[in-house]
Amino acid sequence: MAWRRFFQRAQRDDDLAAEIDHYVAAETDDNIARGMSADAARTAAVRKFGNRAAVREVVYGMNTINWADVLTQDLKYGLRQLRLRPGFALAAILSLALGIGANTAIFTLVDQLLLRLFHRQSVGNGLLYPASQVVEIVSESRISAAPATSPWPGTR
Amino acid sequence: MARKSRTDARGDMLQGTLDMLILRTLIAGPAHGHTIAHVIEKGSDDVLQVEHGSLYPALHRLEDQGLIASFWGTSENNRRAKYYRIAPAGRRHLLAERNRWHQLVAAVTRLIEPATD
Repeated sequence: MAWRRFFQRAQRDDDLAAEIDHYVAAETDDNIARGMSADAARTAAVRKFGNRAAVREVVYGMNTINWADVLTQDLKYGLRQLRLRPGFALAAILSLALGIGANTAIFTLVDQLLLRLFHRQSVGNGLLYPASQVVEIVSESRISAAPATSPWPGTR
Repeated sequence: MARKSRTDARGDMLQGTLDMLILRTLIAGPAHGHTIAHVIEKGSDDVLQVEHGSLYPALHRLEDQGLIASFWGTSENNRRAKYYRIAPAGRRHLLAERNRWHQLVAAVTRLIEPATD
């Protein structure tokens, strides 16, 4: 029930403004009844209420999820800046796209060549090597560079 | 920038006291903000001054907590006004707060009164 206030912020702010208007009007009436002139009565009423913007701001803040509000502001600001400088936006988006793409491509290669290939060979051999030997064996197999005489018979 | 919460700033009033006084005022019947402030000020012989910077946020908070409910009505002078009425949960809350208040007053009184032996 209480979370609903976050979606009624504008409505509630309008209500509060009307409420404050009513307070000032009622206080003005009281002041006139005490014998003040209409102008003086209204001035005194406004003064008695104090800072109306501050009161509205406090209640507005109570109806705000602060981090969501700030996040929305930041997103809007970011989008506005990108639209303001399309060239910069294009360069930034392209370099991000290239960076992510290149990273993925290289990792795919390394994954296939160094991790999966070697895994298949050692499993086929029925051997398990400690991590320190794995590097040696990989480099040896490259140096020999003769697939016909594979150091692990039976695998290909 | 993170907005600093000012909802706890309640002037010189002891924390929770304003809530209690608002609920007590509404026991007599529905009232709008101006009446509530007026009743508290006059009822205390103007010793207690209701800060509007505290009253309206307090009303808003009490309503969110389900202790009071609000509705729009027409005031004595034919103006549209937001009225508040106490909810059953508000009555229970008021009883608990009143007990707590009596305990607090008794404790402070014991401490500040000189021993009469």
